[in-house]
Amino acid sequence: MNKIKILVVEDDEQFRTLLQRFLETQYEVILASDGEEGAKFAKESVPDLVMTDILMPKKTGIELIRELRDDQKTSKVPIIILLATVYTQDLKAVQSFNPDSILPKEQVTRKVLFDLVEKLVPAK
Amino acid sequence: MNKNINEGGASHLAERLIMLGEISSLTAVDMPQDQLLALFASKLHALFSARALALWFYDRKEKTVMLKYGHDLSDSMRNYCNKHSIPSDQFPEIKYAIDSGSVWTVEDLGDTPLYEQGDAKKILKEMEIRAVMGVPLRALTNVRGAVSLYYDHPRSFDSDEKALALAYANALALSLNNVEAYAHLVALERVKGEVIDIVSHQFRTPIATLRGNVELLKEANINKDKNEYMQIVKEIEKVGIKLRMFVESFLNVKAIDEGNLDPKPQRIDPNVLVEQVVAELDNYRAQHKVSLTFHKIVGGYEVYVDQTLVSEAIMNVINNAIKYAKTSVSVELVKKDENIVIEVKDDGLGIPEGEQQMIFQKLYRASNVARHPEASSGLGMYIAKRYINTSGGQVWFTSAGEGKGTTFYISFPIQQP
Repeated sequence: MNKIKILVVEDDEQFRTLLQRFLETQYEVILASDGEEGAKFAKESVPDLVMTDILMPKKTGIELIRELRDDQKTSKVPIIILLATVYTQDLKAVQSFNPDSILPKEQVTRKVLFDLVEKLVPAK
Repeated sequence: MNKNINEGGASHLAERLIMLGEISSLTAVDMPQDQLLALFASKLHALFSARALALWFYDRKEKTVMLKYGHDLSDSMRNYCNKHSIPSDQFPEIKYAIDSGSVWTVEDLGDTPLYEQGDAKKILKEMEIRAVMGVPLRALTNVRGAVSLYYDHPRSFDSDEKALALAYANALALSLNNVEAYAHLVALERVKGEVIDIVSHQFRTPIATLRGNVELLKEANINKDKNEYMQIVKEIEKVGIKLRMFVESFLNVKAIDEGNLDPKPQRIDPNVLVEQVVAELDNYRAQHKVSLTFHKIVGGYEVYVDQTLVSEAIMNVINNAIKYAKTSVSVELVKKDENIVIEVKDDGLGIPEGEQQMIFQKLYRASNVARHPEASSGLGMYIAKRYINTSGGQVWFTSAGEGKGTTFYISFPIQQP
């Protein structure tokens, strides 16, 4: 059985490492450190799920989601937004995208992540 | 003809007093200043049957006044006043009302030599002004300006009328104070909101990281996999440093604001100062995939600064340049006159023209970086400027505008051998 492939797009090094440690026990994890890298890796490897931060250099999470949704190859990939921003402008943009899930960063635990992945990605 | 317009007697006076009560009830603390001035000035103009009225704000330091509101002033007076601040002695009624803090009148301009000189002479003559009442705008002990009431005929002013004019002007001055105090409170409230945004945003990810790593630590078996365990501890340590630096920037500002900086200057080679900072920032630079060139200065120069404070200031400036650069940062030391200037140039976002005045203000973050992923606390440049100034240096910058990069300059006087 193939492992579920998750692309994690997060510019904060320590938080990215944490997500990697949580997820890699169960899933195949690809790491990207900014939105631009995230878009590139998503198109190259078409993951089963994308987890992305919002405020990132080079390309924001909002721009990344827009790009993935506009691309036929990635338009159906479920997206989890990892939320840390408190700025109204970002929160409005996030909601307007109707992402598959919005997860405030402080609620991240291994179980929460696993439950979300199971809910959003059909078992392979 | 020497006509007293207060001939209506007691009932007229009572009527005016009632109107004063009414006008005060019409003012509100959130009223725009122009509206407030217009409200009072139009009432004063009408109630005191003046031919024209001018309302002036006083600059105590410069001893000048600015025309803030005018009623039925001639075009030449408006042109004259709108061009520049006017020395307060050009119009004697302004000067004497402000200096004495009480009402000052001239019953017939023809009787006094005071109006025979200065710019007021021609202007008031053209408007055919014959009598003047100058009323100070006084809130408690602070005289913040004056109102000039102009009449086109000689006339006397009785004490009731003067007292009433003063009461109106005092009410206006107090209302102005209230409007300003309210605007200040609104601004503070906005800053408070911004601080809450900054703090919550900056703390949210590190706290989530700490919490997650604690979960990992609980699961890990220290005896079975010590290496893994220690790596998690290291991650926690890194987050701790990040949080400490953030809190320290707030504490530094507190020290600056409370005047608790205690610089300990020493002679030091500026090359060494900058080189250390550049070396410390090398990892940060690599993470940002930005190149950094550093050009030392030859000549064995020394500056006399507090090394800790100035290093942190330089660190903040170069750190910012790396954070916002697209591809490259250059740091160069040059000699300009009797100063060593550290030039920090980036090819980054630049600073929007309209916001360049505010760069060194506390909690200021340019609009094009406020939501940058690494948006700072808005304290770095404020701290840098204070530390540099405390050490006898200067900091400034040039930016051709948004998207065109920025160059910061930090200068210190060269110490003679």
